[in-house]
Amino acid sequence: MQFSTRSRRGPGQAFTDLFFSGTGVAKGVELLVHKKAGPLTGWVSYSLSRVEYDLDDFNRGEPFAASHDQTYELKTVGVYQVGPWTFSGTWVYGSGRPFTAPESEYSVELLDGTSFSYIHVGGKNAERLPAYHRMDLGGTRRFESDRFFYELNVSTFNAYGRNNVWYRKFDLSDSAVVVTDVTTHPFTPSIGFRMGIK
Amino acid sequence: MGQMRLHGASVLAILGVLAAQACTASDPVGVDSDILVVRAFLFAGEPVADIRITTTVPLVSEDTLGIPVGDAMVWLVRADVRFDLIATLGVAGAYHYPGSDLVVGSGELFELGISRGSENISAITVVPPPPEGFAVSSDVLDVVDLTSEFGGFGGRGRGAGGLAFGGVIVRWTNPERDLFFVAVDNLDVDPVQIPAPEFIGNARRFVPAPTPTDSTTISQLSLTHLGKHRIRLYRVNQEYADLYEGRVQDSRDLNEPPSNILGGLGVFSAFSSSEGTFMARLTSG
Repeated sequence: MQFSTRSRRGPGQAFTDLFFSGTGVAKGVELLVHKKAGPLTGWVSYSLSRVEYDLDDFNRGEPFAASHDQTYELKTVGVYQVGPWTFSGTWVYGSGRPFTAPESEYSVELLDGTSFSYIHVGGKNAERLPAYHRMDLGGTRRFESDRFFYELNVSTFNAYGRNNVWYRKFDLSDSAVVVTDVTTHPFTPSIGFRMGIK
Repeated sequence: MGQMRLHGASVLAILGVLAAQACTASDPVGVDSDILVVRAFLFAGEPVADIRITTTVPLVSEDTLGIPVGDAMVWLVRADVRFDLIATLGVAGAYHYPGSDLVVGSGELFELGISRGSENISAITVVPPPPEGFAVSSDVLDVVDLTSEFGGFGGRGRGAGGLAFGGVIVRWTNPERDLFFVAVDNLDVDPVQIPAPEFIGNARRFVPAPTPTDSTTISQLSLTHLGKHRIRLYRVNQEYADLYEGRVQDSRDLNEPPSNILGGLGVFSAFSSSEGTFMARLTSG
């Protein structure tokens, strides 16, 4: 079921008319390679998937990719331990998620002589955002006493500052349309401290 | 150690290829496909003379008006009889029926056909019945001079609930809650503008929308000029009312109004109307 104003049927309609129901199919495969022994551990996973919806009276009757559909995703995680030091790295790469894009603009003159402008919207989720990828790096130093242990951690999220697009914003109030990419977190360093009883 | 270096190099190579692939840009907006936009209105009791065809405008363009299309084949079908329309001279993108044997009647079903190159468009509409019980409460609308000591806001124009102006009430019968639209036109050749402070400006023009009610009030806030006005009450179809939908946008759920045009955009609709007049005059005291 999906809520959308995209196919509203005119004034006076019930709010519930904006809910569209139908079928959804999710399929895919996932591969995982895991290294557990030795100072260097980690895993690599790859998934290939497709999530498609087919809703009655929606998207001109054509099936479309779900908003969370991601054709493929590669994740690599590595942890390297040397003495009291632990270094970790993560790299994620995912193909772009789908979005609905405006295609063109048109206007219609009304009965009282005023004109309304409209945008013509392309197929539901017919376009794809740029691919998502980022690298996270971290290092942890462990200290120990007789009864306690302490860990000092320094890490960076999105180490190379990739501007991953979360969603695309369209300002349709002016011509031409202004497109803004709303991005996720940029390069974000952090420091952490943890202590516990042995 | 050598084997480890080899693995490291392989991993870096794979990451490099994937990272390069990740930088592929996507189009910020969809591909404009130059779709025909139809605005075809039929009015009961009148000949066919209000059909216009334009194109969509690319979103990257500063223009908002589409290019008029004057080379299309346009026809109407009523009761299996085809009426070929011709382009109207002097009005780009407009078409009309040149004969006198086609007058639109209430209850009639019309099919619209348009052909241009490989593009084929079709649409259907039914002419609604005329409004019933149409009445206008007064033939005079007293207008307040808003520039004199903010007359309308702090003085004589203010009612018990705040802003209140006199108005002409338009009534009709509507037991089935059909959709009606009221349009007001100034009939004077050189109308005088209603005096108003600058900060009001164009805010006085409200855009009405089709309503399922049985009355509406025309106040001076709906008008911009003094003089004789014509009120036209249209009974409208759903496809026309749909034009008032899909105006509010959310980037994550873009929408556009539903259209009854197959193979294109816009609207093909028919109307029946009743009309009356009133005079908007400036109050003197």
